[in-house]
Parts: sequence; structure tokens; C-alpha cells
Amino acid sequence: MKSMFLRLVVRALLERPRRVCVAFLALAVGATLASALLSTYADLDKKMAGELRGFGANLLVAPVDATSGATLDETTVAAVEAAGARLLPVLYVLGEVNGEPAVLAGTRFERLDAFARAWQWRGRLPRNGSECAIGERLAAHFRLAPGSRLKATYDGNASELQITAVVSTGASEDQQVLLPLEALQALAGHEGRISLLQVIAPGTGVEVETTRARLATALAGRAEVRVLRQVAESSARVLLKVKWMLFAVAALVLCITGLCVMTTLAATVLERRKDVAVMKALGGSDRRISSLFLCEAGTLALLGGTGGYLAGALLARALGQAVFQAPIALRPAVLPEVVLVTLAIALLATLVPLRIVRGVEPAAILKGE
Amino acid sequence: MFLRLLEESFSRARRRKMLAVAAVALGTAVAAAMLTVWLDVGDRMSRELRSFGANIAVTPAADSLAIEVGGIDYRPVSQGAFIREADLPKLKSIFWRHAIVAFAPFLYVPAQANGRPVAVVGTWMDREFQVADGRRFRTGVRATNPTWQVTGSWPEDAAPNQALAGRRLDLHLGDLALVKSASGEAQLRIAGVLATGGLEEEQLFVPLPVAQQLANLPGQVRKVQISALIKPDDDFARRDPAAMTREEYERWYCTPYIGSIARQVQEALPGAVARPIWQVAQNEGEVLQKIQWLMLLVTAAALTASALAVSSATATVVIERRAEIALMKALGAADWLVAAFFLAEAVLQGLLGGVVGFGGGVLLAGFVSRAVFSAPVNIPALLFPLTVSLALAVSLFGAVSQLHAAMRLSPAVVLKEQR
Repeated sequence: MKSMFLRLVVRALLERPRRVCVAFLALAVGATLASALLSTYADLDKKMAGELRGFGANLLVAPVDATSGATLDETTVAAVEAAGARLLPVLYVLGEVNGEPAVLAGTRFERLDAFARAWQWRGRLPRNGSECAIGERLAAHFRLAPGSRLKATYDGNASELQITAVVSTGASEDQQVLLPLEALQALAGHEGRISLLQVIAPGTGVEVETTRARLATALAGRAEVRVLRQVAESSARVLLKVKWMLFAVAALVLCITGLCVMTTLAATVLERRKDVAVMKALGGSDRRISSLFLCEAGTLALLGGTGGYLAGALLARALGQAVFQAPIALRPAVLPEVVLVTLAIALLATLVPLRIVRGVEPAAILKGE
Repeated sequence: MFLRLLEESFSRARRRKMLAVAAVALGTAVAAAMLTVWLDVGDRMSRELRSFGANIAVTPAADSLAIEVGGIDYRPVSQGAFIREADLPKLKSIFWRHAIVAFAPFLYVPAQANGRPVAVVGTWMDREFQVADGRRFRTGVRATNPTWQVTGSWPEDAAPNQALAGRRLDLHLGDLALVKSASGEAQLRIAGVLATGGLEEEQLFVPLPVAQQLANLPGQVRKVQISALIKPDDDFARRDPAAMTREEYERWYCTPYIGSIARQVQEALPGAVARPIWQVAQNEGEVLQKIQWLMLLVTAAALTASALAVSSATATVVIERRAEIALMKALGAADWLVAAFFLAEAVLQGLLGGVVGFGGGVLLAGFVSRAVFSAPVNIPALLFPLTVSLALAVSLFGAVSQLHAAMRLSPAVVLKEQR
């Protein structure tokens, strides 16, 4: 009896390859889409946060004392251990360039790129204390270009600097001289001091707040740690919108694809009402007939779900590569979700039409056609 | 006879037909909804991205060197050049005026508040003015910097004695501040306290007329920040406009690239230079592009899946009716006639499903747009013909793929199998 049941299931699947193919394809396509969307959704936080980092610092460490000219001790501040956070110390002083007052900004060029990806450079970054970069408007004002020299003065101390680059930012830096931090500290006699520390904390929203709290505890009394709302809040908001949108779209697509798959499967069951009638006429119990059909659908769903998961993972990988230039990680956790949903859809799509067919008298069906 | 067959076929086995139509409609609904959302997403997201702040800065062309840190100009007001406040409404009459969502002028006045040095910043908080075409437009720092948080209330633009104090200043809500500059003084009440996290927290914001009076510079501003909706820069946008041919220049000018909007702003404001704030403009473009790409690929995947689902639904209809095909053929019907019958059926299914699906898709897209962006969705006029013809094409494809195989079978074999 057991083997008879198995044989019925196997033959039902093998004997009508065309119809089985259609049902399998419908299930696999749905599962592929589910798997691709779920994997992408799960990885979106990380990927988008990486993109939004380009907007620059989301935290600022500033002196507690709000009067202008107050500075921080670089060694205590920069030594703060902030997991995954990037730090950029900056010192501003009001000095003179070729005899006119101008803002001199000292920073660490090797870290600058993460904070100012979008700045447009002409020339190369300064490499030592005798080199500097200048803002576009300052360059135009003094008619300077990469290769020329300028004289920076602070409080009587003068330094001759070689210009290696002109930078265009659209912001205040366009009117500043940018030089290596140590060089400015030496020139201004502010050894080991900085005006502020820009921080890019990883993630968005809560993670940024966590990093802020950790830094604030570590620096209590010595510095104030603030969230730069424009960047932090906008990033969180944009990320939320993108996530919401993908979620809404994924939910919509999955629901409808699920329904679509169901109608296709239901049609294949409806078309076999003659088989049901014959089985009933031969004395098959309702339960037995149902389990036969459900077994068929279940096998198809398991195969389609697994195949779809793999295809979807590949799809998500390609999608991540195309959009973010980094593959979206394969997520084993998605596999059971996808298979279970596929199974549920297949079983539901089989049970409902079966119930309708079973209600009909065998004689009516067999005679009817 | 042909029509009667068709009519009978739809009025008999109605449940099965309805299943097929439902599958087509559902697939079409996904396609229509995804297309709508995708077409809308660029516009919506670029509006969201505007909360990162202004992306164009306008300064006087013949200016002296500014002493500027964190966007604040510390020069004495007696130095440098200015922009005329009266010219600003012209910003809403440039070619890409609709792309300009907000702007705010600034005048910086070094001063003392209650004896302590402070940078006073005059600006528009939320000003309304009349645009050339007669409509009204509201703008100011509230619009260019939506993430700024104010405890208390924003000062009124027309009020002569209200101010917004940065959180780090020693001024509190309701305090009176005596502000003295080199050329004037004002008694101000702190209407609100500003938290931004940035250097703005150390400044005192006042309505523009107050700052102009303090600086003795009526009708002048030092800088204007503009928040514009832009199209991400592509290779074409990065070319030098001066080296373009006439047609290319026109195409560049009529595309909302950051560069072309800045150019138009410069043309509208005589004696001013408009420059992109690259940190915002470029990253905004990049992020927008990623989001559009993401949605494009998701849409493509959903379209493919719904096409497969729809064609498999119509394919099932043909498969299950192989006996009918065989019978028709056995009764002497020509192949083309049988094919025509089934294709006509598929066309009807496609049309019906397509129209219903389009309606459903539009509803779904509106739902998504309201849930995510709290705004209704724009339905492009072309969407209806596009989705219905897609539904038609796909359901025909499904029918044809199976019809071909079904026709090749010998009627005798099929009919015998059925007994």
C-alpha cells in the first residue's frame, strides 16, 4: 500500500512533464524573487550606510568651552578607542597669507579622503610640513597655482610653503590654506592642540548615538561630543525611506506573486478532476486522495523552493555587484523562510480546489466531459 | 460560428477562465505598481536627500578673501562685496525654477551679546514672497535645513527684536540680549534655542533686517545658500560646457545638472558666483543613482517574474484543453482556425486581466507611495497602454508556446488518452 502511494506520487510527477514543469516553474520563480528580495533587504542597512558615509562626519568632538579659539588636547581625544569610527582632527587658526588675514587649517591628509570624498583636487596631497593645499577662491585671490609658493604667518612666526594642490569644495575650505596638522601646530605654537575632531561613526541612527554616548563617557569633562544632525538625521531618514520602500515593494511583489502561483497551481489541480473522480469511484478515501495531491505539491514546492533560493541568492549577488559594487552575502537564514513560504503556498493552492472537486459526485464528472 | 465558440468557451468553464484572468490581472498589477513606483522614486528620493542641506552656494563675484570657518564669515562688515536682497526672487524665474526647492540669504555680523563676542547671522527664517508668475513661495533656513531643532519658537521674519540663540551660547529661552556691533545695536529677546550639532550652535540667528540694521547695510546679503533638486552627474555633465557644440550646450543647459543650475543662478543674480557644494551635491547624486539602480533591478526582476507567472497561467489553459484541440482537428478544423480560436481567447484574457491589473497596480502604487513618502503617486499617461499591451503580449506568448506543441500531437492519441 505504501509503495503504491509512492508510485502514484512519482508517476504523477514524471508522466506529465509539461504540466509539472509549469507548476514547478511558477513555484521556483516565486521562490527566486522571495529569496532575492529578502537577501537584499537584509543586507541593505550595511550597503546603504556605506553609501551615506560620503556625506562626511556625523559626530563632532569640540571643546567644552564655547569661546572661539578654545582647543582640545589631541593626544587625549584622538586616543579614544571608538570601534569602527574614523577620526579626523582639525586645527583652525587665523593667520596671514602673503600679508593678508586668512584661515589656516591643519589636518591629517591621509585620513581626509574618507571625510571629503567629493572634494575636487587639482594636484597632489601635501606630504610634509613644507607643503600645503589651498582653496580655489584663495588661489584665485592670490593668483596661485600648484607649484607656486606662499608665506604663511602666525603671530610673527613665518613659514614658506610649497603649494601642491588646489581644492574646490564649495564650502569654507575654498578660502583656507590646508596644511599638515603638525606643521600648523608648530607654526602657531599650539603643539598637540586641535580645534575639533570630526568623527564618522559606523551605521546610522541608534548606532551613531551609541558611539556618541561611548565617546562622551570617555571624554567626560574634557570635550563635548555632539551628533551632527544634518548628516546623522538625514542619513537615518533616507535609509529608513529606502528600507521602507524596498519592504513595501517586496511585500507587494511577494503577495501578488504568491497569489499568481496559487492560481496557476489551482488550475492544474482543477484540470485533474477526472483523476479525482476515478480514484473516488475506485474507493479512495477523501483523506487518501488529498494526501496524494498534497504530497505531489509538497515535493514540487521543496524542489522549487530550494532551487529558487539558490537562484535568488545568485540574483541578489548580481544585484549587489551591479548597484553597490559589492556582492550581497549569501544568507542561509533565508533558506528555511523561502522553502516554508513556498510550501505553504503550494499546499494552500492544492487544498482549496481539491475541496471543490471532492465535493462533486464522481459520476457527474466522469459523465460530464 | 467562431464568435459563438468563443462566447461559449467563456460562459461555460467560467471558474477556470476566471482563474486565468485573475493570474494575468495579478501579474499585471505587480508590473504596473512597480513601474509606477520606479518612475516616481527618483523625484521622491531626491526630495528626501535635500535634508542634507543646501547644494549650491552663491557669493559676490568681486569679493575680498573671506575669513570663513564652518560656513560663517568672520570678516568685519566693512570689507568685501555683497549681493542685493531685492534680486533674490529672481531665483524662482530661472529655467529650472521648479528644481529650486528652497534658498536662504545670510549676512554675518561680528558683534557682542551682553558683552561677549558672538557671530550674529541674519537670515530669512520662513519668508513668503511673490514670484514673477504671480504665485507665492515660502523659503528660508527652515526649508534649507529641515534637521535643525528649535526649542521654543522660530523668530518671526518681520519682528524687530527676536533672535534664535545657538545652544552653546550663554543665552536662554526668554532672555534679553543687548547686541552691539561696530555700527549699531539692538535689544533682542531669545525666542528659541537652536540645536544642530555643528558650529551653528555657537551663533546668534536674527531676522535679516535686524542684521542689516546692525551692520548698517540695508538690502544687502553676504551669501545665499540654495537647495536644488538635481540629476546625478553623468559623463556628459562632467564635460566642460565651454567646449560644447551649440546643441550639446542647449541639452546641458536644459538638464537639471548641478552645474547647469548653478550657471542659471549666476545669470539671474548679476555680480554673483554660484558654486556647487560638492560634499552634498556629489554624494546626493551618487546615493540617488544607487537607489534608482536598486529599484530598477528590483522592478526588472518583478517584471520578469510576473511575465513568467502570467505566461504560465495562459499556458495551463492551453495544456488542459488539448482534448478540445484534438476534437476540433478531428472534426476537420484547419490548424490556423484552431490557433486563431485559442489566440483570440488569450487576447481576451490578456485584455481583461491587463485592464483589471492596471487598476489594481495603480491602487497598490498609491498605497506604497503614501506609506513610504506620505505623498500620492504620479501616474504617467503612458502607463495604461504600456501595461495593457505588456499583459497582452505576455499572455499571447504563454498561449503560443503551448499551442505549438498541442497542435503537433495526433488527435487520435490525445483523444484516446482522455478515455
